[in-house]
Amino acid sequence: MCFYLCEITTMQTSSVKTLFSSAALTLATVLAAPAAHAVEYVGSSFAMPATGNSVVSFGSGDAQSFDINFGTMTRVTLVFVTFRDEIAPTMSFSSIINNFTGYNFEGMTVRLTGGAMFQAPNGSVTPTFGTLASTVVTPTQVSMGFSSGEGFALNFGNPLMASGASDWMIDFSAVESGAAFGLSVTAVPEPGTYAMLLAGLGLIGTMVRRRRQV
Amino acid sequence: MQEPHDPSPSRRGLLKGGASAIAVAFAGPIAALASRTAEASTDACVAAAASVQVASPYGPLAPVNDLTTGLPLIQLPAGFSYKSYGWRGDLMTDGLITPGAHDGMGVVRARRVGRSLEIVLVRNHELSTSTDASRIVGASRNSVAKYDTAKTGANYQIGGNTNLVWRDGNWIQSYASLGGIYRPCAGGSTTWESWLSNEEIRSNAVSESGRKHGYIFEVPADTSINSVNPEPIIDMGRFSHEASALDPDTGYWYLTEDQGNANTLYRFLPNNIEGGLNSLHAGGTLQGLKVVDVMNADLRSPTLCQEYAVEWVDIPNPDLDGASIAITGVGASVSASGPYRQAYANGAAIFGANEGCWVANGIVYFTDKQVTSNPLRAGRIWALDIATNTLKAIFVSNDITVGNSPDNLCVSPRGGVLFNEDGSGTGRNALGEVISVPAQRLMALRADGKSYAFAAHNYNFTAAQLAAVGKPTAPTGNQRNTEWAGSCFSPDGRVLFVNLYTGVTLAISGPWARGTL
Repeated sequence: MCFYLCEITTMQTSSVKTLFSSAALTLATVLAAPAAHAVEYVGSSFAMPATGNSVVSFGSGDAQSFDINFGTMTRVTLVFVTFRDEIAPTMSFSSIINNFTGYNFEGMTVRLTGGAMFQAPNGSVTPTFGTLASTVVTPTQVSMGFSSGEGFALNFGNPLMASGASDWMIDFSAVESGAAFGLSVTAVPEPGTYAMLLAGLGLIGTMVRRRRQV
Repeated sequence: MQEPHDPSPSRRGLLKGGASAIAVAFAGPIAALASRTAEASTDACVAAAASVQVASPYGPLAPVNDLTTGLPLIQLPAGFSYKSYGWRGDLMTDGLITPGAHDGMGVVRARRVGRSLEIVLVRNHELSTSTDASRIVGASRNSVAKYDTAKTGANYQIGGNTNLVWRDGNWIQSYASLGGIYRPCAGGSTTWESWLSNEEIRSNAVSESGRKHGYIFEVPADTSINSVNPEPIIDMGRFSHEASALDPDTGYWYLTEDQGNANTLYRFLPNNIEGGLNSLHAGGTLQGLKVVDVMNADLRSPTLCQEYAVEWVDIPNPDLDGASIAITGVGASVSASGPYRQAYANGAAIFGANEGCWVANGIVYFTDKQVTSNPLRAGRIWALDIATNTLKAIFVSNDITVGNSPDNLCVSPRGGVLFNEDGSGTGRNALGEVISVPAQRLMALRADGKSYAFAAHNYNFTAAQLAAVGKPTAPTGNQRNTEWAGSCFSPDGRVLFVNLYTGVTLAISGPWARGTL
């Protein structure tokens, strides 16, 4: 059992199908017929513990949009598979990142793995109650820090079609056709909640060890 | 005496329909909160003469700037922030001016609109009377329902309601929904997307249009789809109403009355037990709370965790006129409502001045806000276990620093009790010494009966400061010792909605799980 999902790197479709067989992954789209667009969202995975975490997809094809709901402040990974022959290898991305944990987001990291990269210009980052102190963008990662934590939700991109906001663009031209890439969203908790998270992990570890002994 | 009957499973399902819809809209978080809700119980109360105040698990309070205006309207623990909306004097979406005296408020609808999460609240404006008919809430818009636009004596009844829409973490809309009523104070939400707006008056007067006052009215979540029925729900009683709270398991309502030393907790058993808009207008049976084997038990000075076995006595005529009656231990001539006169005659208990009321997890929580110097009283909170008919004093304040006249209260989705102070800036501590307090607060009540401050009022601005943020008609000066009112949480527990009676509505968010709320 993998408590923290290993980084998703470039993988063949068969590898993705193998991952879906694990309990940690939820299949969202059947990988069957060839797509009329360059990319498909195929599922999500959660670093454990993941109580209350969920993902709801509202987009499709080259315009991907999600509600990512954190009930526990860990990491959620979305998995996409490319079908980019003769189609522009880019997609727009946006998400409402809901905070149901009862604690503030102190920061947030959105990371691309498997060869995909963020494309200029940068998209929007809009907190609901928090105050954004910094946004650092590299080709594969957007790191956000709050001077006043976010207890409600963060809009990454423009999921609600607000005027003046814009989506993030993702370039996956370096990803082989038929291969997968990942987008991980990691919520950074308040310092005081790390201890609770570690205690939760310890409890799960103890339970697993006991089950193995039985 | 009438005993409750067991509601059918189908009716329970209907009554909980609204709650179920909310659960669907917030499926993940509701599940996550379930474990905390189970903590709501009165068993952990630790007996003592009175409650004491303890340090807040959220940390100390400090002024925090409003995200809307930039003004430090309130003090909060670190990590919390808020957005104000619907200030007195603001232009509403319907083109009318926002009335003042922001009081009781509740969430009446929570749903998904497309991808958005939308919450609708109904807010009371506790306005009394005026000689100016244009001050009636909704006066300049004919489509706003009005109960009474005629004079009673020299005055019009100008109180009413406004509806507020909150979507995806932002305030969207407000409009007038009901006018022509007298001082709607606490009120209460139904589970079928409406609000009960309760007049706070004990009066036998009749207006020029033949209307009496002291009734309860129903306001739907969306008055453009369901117009307000301007007729009162007479069987819920004519008295100085405060709150009304529904137990979705039984369909019974619990009502409070703010008639000093002449009130009890009331229970209303609707004839139409299915619920639904206008269902309460079909009438029902009103009852008053009585301590078993004790006629007219005086419950104004309990000790912490003190318990009573209670039962219910019928009130045959809920619309009876009020009159002065002799009340044992209070006085030979005490002003009493018609319903209380009948309840008292049948042995109903005596409370000081009941106010807020909330039902959660089979418990009816209600406040007695009476403050007296001899004997020392600064407020009580009671918990009635519906299944066992056991009444317990879960908060006893004899010191205004511990709790200063608890008014409205609510229970968070995590099971934490929050009450709104409505006391004076001057009062007595536990030693009986006269002291001053700088501000009214939002207080949390722990399961052991101890309290702590979650927030404090901080409104103290000049006309120039207010004009600079677009609030030229807002009240000026030090308002810190005016009341908090209308507290209620979003169903997912992320946002606390609350009013500053001064005339501002707030939405507060932050790390709730650090404490009991």
